Amino acid sequence: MEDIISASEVYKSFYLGDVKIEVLKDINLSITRGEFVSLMGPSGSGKSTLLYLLGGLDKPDSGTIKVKGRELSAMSDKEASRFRRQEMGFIFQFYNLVPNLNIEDNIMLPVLLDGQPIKKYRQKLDDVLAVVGLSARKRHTPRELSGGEQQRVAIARALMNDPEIILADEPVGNLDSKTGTDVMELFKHINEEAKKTILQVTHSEELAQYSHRIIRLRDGKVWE
Amino acid sequence: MAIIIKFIGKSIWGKKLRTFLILFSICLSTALLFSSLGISQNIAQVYLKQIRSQIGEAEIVIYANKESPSRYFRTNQAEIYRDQLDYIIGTISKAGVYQVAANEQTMVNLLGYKLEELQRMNPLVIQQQYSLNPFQGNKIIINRVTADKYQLQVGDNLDLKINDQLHRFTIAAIAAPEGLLTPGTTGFSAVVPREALATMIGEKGRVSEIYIKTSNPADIEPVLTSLSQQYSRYEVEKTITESELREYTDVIRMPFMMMLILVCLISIFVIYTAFKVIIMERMPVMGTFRSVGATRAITNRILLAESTIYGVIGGILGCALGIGILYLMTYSLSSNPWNEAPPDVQLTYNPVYLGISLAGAIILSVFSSLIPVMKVYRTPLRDIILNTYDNQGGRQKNKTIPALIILALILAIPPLLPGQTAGILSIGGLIIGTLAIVWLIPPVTEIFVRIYEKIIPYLFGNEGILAIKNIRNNREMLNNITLLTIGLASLLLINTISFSVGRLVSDVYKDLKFDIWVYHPQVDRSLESQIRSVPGVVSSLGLYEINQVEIAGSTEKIGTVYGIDGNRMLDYLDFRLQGDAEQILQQYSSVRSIIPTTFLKEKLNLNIGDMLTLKTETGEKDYRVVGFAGTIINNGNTVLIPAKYVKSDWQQRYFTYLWVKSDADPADVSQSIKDKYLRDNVFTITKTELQETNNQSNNQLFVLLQGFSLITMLIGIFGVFNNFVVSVLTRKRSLAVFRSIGMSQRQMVKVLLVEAMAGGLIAGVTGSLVGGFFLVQAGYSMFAMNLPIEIIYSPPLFMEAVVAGAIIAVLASLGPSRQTARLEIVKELKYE
Repeated sequence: MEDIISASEVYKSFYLGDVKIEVLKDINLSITRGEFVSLMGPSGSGKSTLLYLLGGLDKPDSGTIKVKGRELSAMSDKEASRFRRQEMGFIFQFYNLVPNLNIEDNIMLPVLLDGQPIKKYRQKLDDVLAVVGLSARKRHTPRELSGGEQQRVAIARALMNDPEIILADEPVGNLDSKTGTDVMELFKHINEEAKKTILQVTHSEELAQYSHRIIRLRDGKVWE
Repeated sequence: MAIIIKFIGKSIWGKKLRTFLILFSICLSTALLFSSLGISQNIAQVYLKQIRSQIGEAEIVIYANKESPSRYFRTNQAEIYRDQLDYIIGTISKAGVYQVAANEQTMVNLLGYKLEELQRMNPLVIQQQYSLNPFQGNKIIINRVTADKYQLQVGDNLDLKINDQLHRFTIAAIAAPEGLLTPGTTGFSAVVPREALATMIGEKGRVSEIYIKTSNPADIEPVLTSLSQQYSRYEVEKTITESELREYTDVIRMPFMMMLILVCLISIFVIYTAFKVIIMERMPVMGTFRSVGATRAITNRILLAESTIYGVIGGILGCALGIGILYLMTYSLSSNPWNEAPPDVQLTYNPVYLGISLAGAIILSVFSSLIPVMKVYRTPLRDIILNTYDNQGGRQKNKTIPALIILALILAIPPLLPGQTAGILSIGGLIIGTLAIVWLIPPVTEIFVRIYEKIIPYLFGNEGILAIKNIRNNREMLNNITLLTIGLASLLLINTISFSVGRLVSDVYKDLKFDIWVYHPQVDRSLESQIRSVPGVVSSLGLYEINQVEIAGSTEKIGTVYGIDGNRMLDYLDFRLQGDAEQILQQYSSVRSIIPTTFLKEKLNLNIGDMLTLKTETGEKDYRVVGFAGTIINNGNTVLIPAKYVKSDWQQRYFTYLWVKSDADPADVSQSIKDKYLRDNVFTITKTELQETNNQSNNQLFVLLQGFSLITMLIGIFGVFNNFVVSVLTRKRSLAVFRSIGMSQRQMVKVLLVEAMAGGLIAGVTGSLVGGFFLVQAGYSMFAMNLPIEIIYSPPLFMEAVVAGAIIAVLASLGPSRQTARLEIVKELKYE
């Protein structure tokens, strides 16, 4: 199968005061199209940092990251932004919905940012809402939704522009086990039915079982 | 305790921009409070100084009036009281003529003094002298401006015509152009030996004014009474009266107090919004404090201590700034355009004002922070410790209906009340109305958002749509709109009033149809007919003017009574008689009648046919109201009475002045009259010159008021800037989400700028509406102050306010927008 994401000799460090902390060291990995991969490791192992680098939200100190054959570091801000909204969907542990926008508006954000006419996407919006089971709640604000519902909205938003890749940072970390299981089932469904490539960060071995493959990180290195 | 103080200190120092904004708002409010309190005293000082520059410290003045047997009299009757007096100084004045060239002459106001007496009462600053002492014979002292203008030097001769006799004076000194020798608009003043001048005009041993200063101020009243008996046919009065001073200072102080209210309101809002953010930031630390045993009282004390510290620092800085502002205001009111040296400004203020201002600053700061602090007080301990309190707060109660009711009442009630009460209420209405307007900002914004939804997408694409969605329910945006609204409204208030007063002055002069105003102490028919013979004079009208006439059975006074012929009235003035002018004038001429202005009609509740009883020189007289005039001359505090009744009831022997019409250039005709009657001390001024003088004195006040309104706007702009920073801070995570799902930096800047522009436009429109509301209230207040100004609502000015709102908002958001676009996405998203 063809690689959709690849990282080669990636290094990333941060400064804590004057002290340099090497978070990622010589990361080499590849994810093939349609794969569902879990990124696991103890706290501070660099899982989220790696996820954000692979999603183009941050840049590595050195090394190469290619997504769909394009090197992210070489893109301008405009190109990288367009790439994120068209090719990737992000899901975060704390949902990160925009509080003063209603559910419909939150889901439509990628369309709006892409400069597309909203009217054309009404049907798509209804479809996505149906997938996440929130058709009746589209006029509500995030404050009026439960955690699980908010995460479903985040998933709907990630699907709206029909990206090939979904990146999720501990997507059920803030949910109870029942709701978490529901959300994971939804991921599985999206992976199998919509053929999306999913990369999730998780602490849980149980949740990792939903994926095809687990990449383990320890002390900034791939431990697989 | 030390730890808490250290914590507060670090908190204040850690947020320098916000600390600056809070201190800036408190500082300016305190400065305005201090200068508003102190301005009366200093304006009074300036006013006193202007008078003192002419008469020194003299407390009593004696001079001839129309009933006096002669303009000149002796000082010996005053000498009886010498023991009680510090000085008795007699002076004699007379007009002279200086022939500058063959076809140019100028008037000289000759002031006869004994030099040693003058130097004691009101010293001249001698800059150059030539055989000045003894100051006797034909010596003369001129000022430097006159010397430079006519290229005169000490020792030169100066030939002056006095009573048609040519006298040669020697310039014995050149003095600074100040005090007695301050240059005027026509001619120049000069000091000559008193006896020499008295002899020249055949009044040896006599004076035209006596200035008296008592040894003990407690003796002023008894001495005044005794002197009034001694000089029973002369005017004996205090040089300055308390009521005169109060009247002069009140008109200036009141507008400053109104500005102060607006500045305080805007400051309260700035501090309140800043404290909301402070509280939000402090919550986790408060949670830590509470978890280690701090009580609610302690955490509240920490927060209130912080606001008290802001109050104290801002108050001290504000007092210092207030002294500076007061100095500048006093300086600008004292400046003498003729004197190159800066004016000698002696700032006086009551130290209690410093205490009041400092206390005001602390109250302002603590009061403004109280509501956010109370929120912490009400938040459950568990929520504080776990940081699970509601940042956004609950949904705001809809206060549209109460706000509309309050505004309707504020606008509807004052017209139903008597003027004075309406005026006082309108100031309260200004404060309550502003609060009601703050409640109305959210629904008004919602209406605008709906309008924007139809327009903005076409102009700014999808980023425009996103910007509109961000405005809705965005508290920081609502705060920005509120701040800008109040700032713009106060600017509109001052500019419109200043414009309206300008228009009022011009309208008043439009009501008057004469070209030249001619004054002489004894204008009679003979002088009038002589003046008519001056080339260019077409006609003239002599009229009587009596000021401050008491109304019997009332405490009210009529500002000016004009005694004017009914049959010639309309040729000289257009007082816009209400109703059938012909019929009114017919009645006016046939009975002892009176035509009050519409302002007095309202103030005194008069109707046609009512009798108005006035206190005259010959007792109380009844005048029948035959009509009303729409003029606003003398601020509308005016009545017209047929000339013959004014003449008989007030026993007037001479006209007060003449109004002259000309068919040539009024300035030339005015000069011709002056030249012809130079020796008779006839004073003339054209209508245009009168209007300019009036405008200048108004401008001086309005420049200061505009300065105040700009400061208000400045606080507003800083507040808006702060709110944009706050807005970005509180929305960082949302903005990072936008970036994570594909918003480019350029798109983010565009969204934030469209947001700012759209919010600014709303503020521009609401600012204009609120400005209109303020102006209605100001109209009531001014009516109560006997200033019935017709407010001229200038559409371009209001349009400028709308545009200014958008520009200010966009400029204030530029920095924060660009900074936000560069935010670190991962850092913000990972923040928990």
